[in-house]
Amino acid sequence: MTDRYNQDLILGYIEGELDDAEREAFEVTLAEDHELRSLVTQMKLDRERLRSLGRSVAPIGLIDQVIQTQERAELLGDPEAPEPLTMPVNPHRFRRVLMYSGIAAVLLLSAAVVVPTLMPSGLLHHPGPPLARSLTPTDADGESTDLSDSTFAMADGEESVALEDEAVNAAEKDKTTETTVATAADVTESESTKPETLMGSIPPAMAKARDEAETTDSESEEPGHAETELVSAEPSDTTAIEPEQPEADLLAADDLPETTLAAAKQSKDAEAIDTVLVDATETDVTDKAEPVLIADATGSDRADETKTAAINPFLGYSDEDDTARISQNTQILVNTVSPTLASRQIRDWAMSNSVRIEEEPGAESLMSRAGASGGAGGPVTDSQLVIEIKQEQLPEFLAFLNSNPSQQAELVALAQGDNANTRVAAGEDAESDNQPKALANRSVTRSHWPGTTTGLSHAMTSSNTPPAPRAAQSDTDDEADSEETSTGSQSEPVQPFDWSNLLHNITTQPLKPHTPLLQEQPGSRLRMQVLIHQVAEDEVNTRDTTKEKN
Amino acid sequence: MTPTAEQALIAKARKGDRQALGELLMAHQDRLYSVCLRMLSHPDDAAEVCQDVLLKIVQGIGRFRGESGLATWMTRIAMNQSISHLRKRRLRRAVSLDQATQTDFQGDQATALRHQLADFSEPGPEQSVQEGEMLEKLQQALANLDDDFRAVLVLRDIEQMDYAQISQTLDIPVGTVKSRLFRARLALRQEVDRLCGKDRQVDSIVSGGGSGEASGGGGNTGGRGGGVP
Repeated sequence: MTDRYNQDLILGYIEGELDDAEREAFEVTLAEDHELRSLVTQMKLDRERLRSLGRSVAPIGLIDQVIQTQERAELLGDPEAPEPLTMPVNPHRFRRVLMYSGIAAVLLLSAAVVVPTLMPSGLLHHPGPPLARSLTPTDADGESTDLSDSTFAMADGEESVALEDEAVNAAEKDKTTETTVATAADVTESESTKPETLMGSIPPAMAKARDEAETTDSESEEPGHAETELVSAEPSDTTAIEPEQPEADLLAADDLPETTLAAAKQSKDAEAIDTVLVDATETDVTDKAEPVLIADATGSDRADETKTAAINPFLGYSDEDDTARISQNTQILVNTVSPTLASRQIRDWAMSNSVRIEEEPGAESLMSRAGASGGAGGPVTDSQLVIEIKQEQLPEFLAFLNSNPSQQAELVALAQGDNANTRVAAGEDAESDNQPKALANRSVTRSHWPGTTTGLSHAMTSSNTPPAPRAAQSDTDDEADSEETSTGSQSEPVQPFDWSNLLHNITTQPLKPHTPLLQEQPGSRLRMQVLIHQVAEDEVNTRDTTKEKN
Repeated sequence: MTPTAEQALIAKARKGDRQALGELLMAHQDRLYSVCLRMLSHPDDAAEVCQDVLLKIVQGIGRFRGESGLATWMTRIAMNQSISHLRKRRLRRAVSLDQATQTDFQGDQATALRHQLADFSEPGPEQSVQEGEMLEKLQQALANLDDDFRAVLVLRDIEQMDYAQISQTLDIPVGTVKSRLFRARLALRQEVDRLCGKDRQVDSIVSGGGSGEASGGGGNTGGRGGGVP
């Protein structure tokens, strides 16, 4: 029986896949076999019944459960969780962002803490223009560059003056202990070009570093060096700077035109030390071509402490201390028959020109300190004023002062810069012999713009051509230089200063790039002292006569 | 859903479009659940397995290459999950499937019967009762069949797949599908007869001839009556 039926035929018949001929042939077979027909019929019915069952409906929320399951697996980080359907989010990206943000925050905090610590307070509090500039002397054409190099110093009116000890002591009434550090230009490098020193500010930390550098340099200096000498109490007692004598003052006047800064150290003998110019060439500051002028005075009671402070010639800076110090470096000396009248005239002029002026007791003339202006005996300051004047008003003011035939005015500024020639005013050489004490322990490099003062006018004897800058000279230069200077000042007739030429130079002379004050701060104001000295009438007349002759 | 729309949704789903994938799942969830239910004969197990099937689909939609139809691919997943679940259940349970399937199928059978009764054109009360009883016995017999026989019957009769689709779903040749299908129908008939108290040696009737795969597919029919070798 089994051999009579084929599975494919039966299945084809059940599934309805047989064609008509095959179906008819199979139905003939089925008709002949009752059992087979019954079985095929039942199987066909089972098929129909199964097909009639249909599909069941999925429970509600089945897909929601699937989504929840997937999300839960993703959140739990199940490794078997299905991959997210959307673009995967890189988990390291967020970590990197956090890391970089943290680093940036730490750096900012560190900078906020470190920078104020490292930065000198002066720089932070004085965001003004830089005060110090590196200057390159360009005096090949014979033009004076000193006018721009030093604050108010004429190129050929620079002298190295040894200040009188007593005058200095008298000047420091307030006992302010400030060490004037006269940094001797590096002996070994003094021949080379050095950046000129200008008036500027220097942080105390830098100044301290400078002092240390100076001390080191001083140790290596040889005694009797022509360019850096120590002025001791005795004129002939020139000794080298030794570390065992830190209180010894240095004379920082060099023959080099690059002489810039004079450093002085505290002296036990002196109660106070005058302002000096500190050459920053030996320090890091000068390495950065930022020569500065430092006026410091350190009292003897602070022998171990060397304090340097910055001088700010511009009133644009709010540091009152700085602006006050400039008065010690730039002064206008007025020799007049009637100080009262001169003072009143100056006040009137200041009022009419909107110039701030005030009376300052206790000021001291630089010239009187040096014993250069008032003759032997020292200072006689009858009236002291502090004037804040614009740069461009300076010539006019000086002209006004000299317009009165009964008085003469001169502008005196401490030397600064490499071309701050230090010269002794006329008559001072002779007087200095009588005042050995005046040179003792004091060495100040000073420049000045002499007015019509006879004593100083020889420095400006050059006519219309601007004088060539001269190398700074020290009071304690070698004898040859001293004799030359002395001889020159004694043999040459004293000629009155050609004030018109000075004005011409100030107003018309093209400014050199390294001219600091006039170029960089054309509208700045200068704070300086006006010291009025009473002199005899015949002295003024003599000077006037000389002036008229010239 | 038209094949074109389905292809568009598939493309979007493969790119990570959750919405497209959700639409595809919604379109196929009833069929997948039905397959799981016919295979497992238990609604809760069917829902659980169907959930796993959907997760598998979500996980593997990116790897779907389109060599077969999406329905075929999904059904294959569902069938494999169901068979895997059945095997685990057999190992897990020492008890017989009879009572459980009977109990489970009673509710589902009643539902199916109601649907059938609604579709029948006014059958008589006696006929309805008899047909209902036959459906109950038929589903019970289906549950008693071997997994391979049940799978091919489900795919062929319930899912109404052709031989090629069944071949792709079960990953067997088409000839094997035909042979297995015939043997599954014969086993089902024998099981129904057994359930009805009839003991008929159907194997002697249909044996011989046919394809060489006639005896393939696992050997036993799984029928409780054990008629078909």
